[in-house]
Amino acid sequence: MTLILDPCTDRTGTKDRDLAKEATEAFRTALSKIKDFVVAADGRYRLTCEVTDYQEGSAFTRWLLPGRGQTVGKISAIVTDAKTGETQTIIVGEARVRSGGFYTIGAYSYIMSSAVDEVVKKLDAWAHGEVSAAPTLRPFEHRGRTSEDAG
Amino acid sequence: MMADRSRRAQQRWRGAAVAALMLGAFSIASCTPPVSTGAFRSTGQIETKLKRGVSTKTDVLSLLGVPNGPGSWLLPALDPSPREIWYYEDMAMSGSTLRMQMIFVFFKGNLYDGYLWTSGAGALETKF
Repeated sequence: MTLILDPCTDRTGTKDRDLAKEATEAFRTALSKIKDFVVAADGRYRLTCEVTDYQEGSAFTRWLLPGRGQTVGKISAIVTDAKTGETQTIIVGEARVRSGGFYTIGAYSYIMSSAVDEVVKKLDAWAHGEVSAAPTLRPFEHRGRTSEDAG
Repeated sequence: MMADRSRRAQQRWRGAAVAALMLGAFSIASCTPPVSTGAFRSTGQIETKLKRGVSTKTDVLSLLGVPNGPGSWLLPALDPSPREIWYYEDMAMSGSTLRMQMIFVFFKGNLYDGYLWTSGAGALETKF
């Protein structure tokens, strides 16, 4: 499957990190590990992604107050047909470090790539038909009422 | 005399315990973090940035982001083929106030064809 990878957008407003660039690179790396995906400028499908949530969290807070200080990364991606623009699927990937002590120090540095890995895993499943494409509201079959129907 | 003193001391302790409980409950309630799916972005620019029959899905993505879900709709009298629709939701709860908004973006082929925005912001409040 050939994909056009658009640069990700950061919707979180994070100032001290270039999350958009990190996510785009993480996508490039994760996709290159799966032989069925080829990133190409003239790909069949277009992958658009964005960082929708990022919380740096704190290992110390997690240790002190379980449930608090979570490190969170969340990515949303949409796959459209590059020719027709038709939506194929929407995938959300989320990674959280909820609990743990000092061994979770630095979770902020890999949380984005973990979220991207989650998206790519779901994308791979979708490409293999393991999950259905974007749910579509099936329109009912329209049949006009005629005088014959009324008897 | 001794019995009076003991009763007063008991009442004082009871009062202090009730006050401590109330303070604790208030602290927990005030510390409950607001829950939100994330507020809508750039909705004020829909009218100016998106042009019906001109803007593409990429333009909508740039402005509003990845939707929560896609689907299609059909009005046979208008168009015999189904048209795509994108759905955005925003829900947030803070204390007793609930905010709920939805945007539906309509497409004709790959082009933007209009939107519907409904909001309960400021109108929904839990009463105790």
